[in-house]
Amino acid sequence: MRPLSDRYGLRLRLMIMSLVLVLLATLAIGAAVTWNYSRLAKNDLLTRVGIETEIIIQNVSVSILFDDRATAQEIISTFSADPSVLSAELYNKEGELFSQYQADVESLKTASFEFKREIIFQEEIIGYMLVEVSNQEIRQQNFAILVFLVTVSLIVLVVAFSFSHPLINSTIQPLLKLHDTSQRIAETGDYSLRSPVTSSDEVGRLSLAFNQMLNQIEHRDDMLEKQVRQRTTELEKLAEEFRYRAFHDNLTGLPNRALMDERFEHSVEHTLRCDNRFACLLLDLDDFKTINDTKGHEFGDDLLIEVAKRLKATVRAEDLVCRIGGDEFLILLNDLKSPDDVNTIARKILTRLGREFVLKSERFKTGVSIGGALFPDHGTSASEIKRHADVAMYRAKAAGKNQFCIFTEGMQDDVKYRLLIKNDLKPAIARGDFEIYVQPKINAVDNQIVGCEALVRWNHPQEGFLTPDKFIPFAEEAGLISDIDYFVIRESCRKQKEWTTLFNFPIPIAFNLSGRHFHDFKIVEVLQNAIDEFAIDPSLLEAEITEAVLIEDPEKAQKIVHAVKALGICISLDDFGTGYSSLNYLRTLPIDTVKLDRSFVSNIVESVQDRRLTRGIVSLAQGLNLRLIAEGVENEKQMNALMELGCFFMQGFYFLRPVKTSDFLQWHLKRYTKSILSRQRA
Amino acid sequence: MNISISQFIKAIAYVLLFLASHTFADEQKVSALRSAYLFYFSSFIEWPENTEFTQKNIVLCAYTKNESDQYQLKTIQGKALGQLTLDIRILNSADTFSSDIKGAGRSSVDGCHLLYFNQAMSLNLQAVSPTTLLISEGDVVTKGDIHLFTNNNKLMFEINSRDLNSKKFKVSSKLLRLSRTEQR
Repeated sequence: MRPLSDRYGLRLRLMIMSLVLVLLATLAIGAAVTWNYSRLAKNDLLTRVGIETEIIIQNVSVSILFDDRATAQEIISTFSADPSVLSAELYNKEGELFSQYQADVESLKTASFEFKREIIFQEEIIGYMLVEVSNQEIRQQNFAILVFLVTVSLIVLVVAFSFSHPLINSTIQPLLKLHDTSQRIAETGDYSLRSPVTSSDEVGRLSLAFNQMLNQIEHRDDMLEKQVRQRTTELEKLAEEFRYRAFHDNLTGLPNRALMDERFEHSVEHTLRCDNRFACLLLDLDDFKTINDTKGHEFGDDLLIEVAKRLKATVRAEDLVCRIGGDEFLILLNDLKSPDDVNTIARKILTRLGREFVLKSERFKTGVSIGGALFPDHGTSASEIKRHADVAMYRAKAAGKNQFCIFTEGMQDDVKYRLLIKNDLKPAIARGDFEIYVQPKINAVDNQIVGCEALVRWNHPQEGFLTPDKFIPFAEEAGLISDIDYFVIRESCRKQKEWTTLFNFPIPIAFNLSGRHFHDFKIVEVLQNAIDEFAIDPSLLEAEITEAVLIEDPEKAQKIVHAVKALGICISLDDFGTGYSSLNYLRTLPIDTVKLDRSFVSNIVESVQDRRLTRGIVSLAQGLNLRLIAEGVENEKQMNALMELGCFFMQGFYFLRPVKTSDFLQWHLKRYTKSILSRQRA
Repeated sequence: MNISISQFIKAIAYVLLFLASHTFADEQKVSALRSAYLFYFSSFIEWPENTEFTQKNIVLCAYTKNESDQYQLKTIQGKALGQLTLDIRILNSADTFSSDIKGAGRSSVDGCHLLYFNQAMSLNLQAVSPTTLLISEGDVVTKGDIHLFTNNNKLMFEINSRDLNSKKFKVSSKLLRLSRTEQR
């Protein structure tokens, strides 16, 4: 059942309440008056009948005294004058009924009361009288009073209604207006509406407060609306930015892979419609990783931005240049009239990108390998065209970089090879399909071995023995280079342990450490574990690092190099003289050996400048008390030239190419035996 | 059924005894009623103003030889009547005679405020003080101011209001209502 407040309005409830209160008050007063009148009437009746009884007793007492029942009856019958007396019974002192009176009206007996009066003569009780009195008189009076009270109550109610109605109206009207206003606001949402303030009482103040609240809401709404507008604009901008970012590369601002995919489909449809062809060129900057490693990512990013600018400037407006990741770009050349057009544009790109870059006040040159595929000549779908362009690009890289190759059917085999290598790397590491080969380091003065370098080979089940250049780039792509390095370290330690038991004189063994190891101290832990496991002298190990390890975070890399050195391992700086080496490294790093890059050795016989540079490096090494080893010595002339320049430690095919450790031992024993025999002869 | 003579005599004796006792009881009842009436009369009658109440006694003189009467009258001796006290005086026949002697200077009924007499007594009413209320009973030659009589075994009275008025007695209307109007 719904509560009263839900069923009736405030006005009706107030009206009902006031009328109920008036009615209750009237009833209470009426009840009190009725009760009082009833009480008084009963008292009056009792008094009256009592007096009558007393009089009759006075008269009748003589009759009792003289035993005159007839007279007593006569006297007692005078009660008939009072209709309220229903009956009277007179008893003598023995309790015998002496005489009695009975009113005629029977119906009056329904409500009555009795009282008893003793009859005393000369202080002696001579009898008593029982009188029964009807309440009818009281009831009639009560009824009359009730009728009167009901009449008065009705009049009071009418008067109360007449007064309270306008009073309640005047009180509640402002509240109703307030309610109407709030309802209209709720229905229309129009917060400009205001409730009229008609008084200064509580309701008036309530209306005032309500209006103030509306002012605040309106103000807040305005503010919110402004904020929403502002936020919407911001969100739209953000959405636009997100849209842009979703389809564009952050660094270069070029369309990204997502937009490229979309446009690629458009190009396919457009070409089919126009019955012409379009070309897909896939570009990959040569040695970008090395640039990144040596010059830093910031430099690499600047280079990418510049490359992007040049690419956009080279192609037509209707062509699309995208960056699809890392140092890879894709160009869609639409509406090509002949297949040769793609050649022309590719050459232009090679020329443009082959020009010098000026980045961070540094002049710099780089190359780019471009692979191309034509639609519909080299594929009938976008994915096929892209895949074939990718194949061509790898062919360009394999062909010596900074070249353009258009896809041909024979290139598919290359792709298959790459996939094969990439897929087989991880299981090969797990299976232990790798093996270390070693190449000796020779002191050319006495032709003695001063050490060797461990070089990894992959004994591939189908492809046979693979040299590092055949799988190391893929291992780096797959993030597996660390595992390969760990394998080489452990194998080097194992060999060192074996050799220690075989020879009286030790042969230090060197291994290469990728720049990837110099981001954290895990390599130190791996080296320590290997040394501990095989219980070898750490000074018989040599870690060959390149300058690239120091480029990204030189401080941390230096700490790691020092930690490796602290294990007792010798440090060798590989490929010295190429790249962007800073002489400062020679001072700050704990380097024991500097390895002269093979590029100096290859031309040392013919090139005066290379000889001059080599001499300088020899002088530098001697000045810093570093051992210098020349790499890539392939003939006697080179050896002699180096010796003339003061470089006596060498490594190269001239002495021995990288061979299996067993072959190396055989070779070494043969030389060893020879030298002993020659010494004996001498 | 065998009833012996002695038993029969006993039964007769019981019956006679019962009747005798019944008669005696009736007699006592009438005497008591009479005594009460005499007492009540004094309550509803006001004596003339010149009446003297020596020692605040109201004297009830009764000529009766009946022992029951005498006994019952004794029971109301000393009863209070307002501020007065009832004094019972039983008169005998000698008193009666002496009262006849007029002028002897003193009468036995002198000082009686109420004087009761019945047919057994002969009384010269002329000699009685006018302030004495005369109450007679039975078949008397001269009835008193109030006359008692028996009707249907019920003791009743009649009041000679005219004589009482002439003697300056005031009789309560209540009493008058009960009395039978005397026909003389």
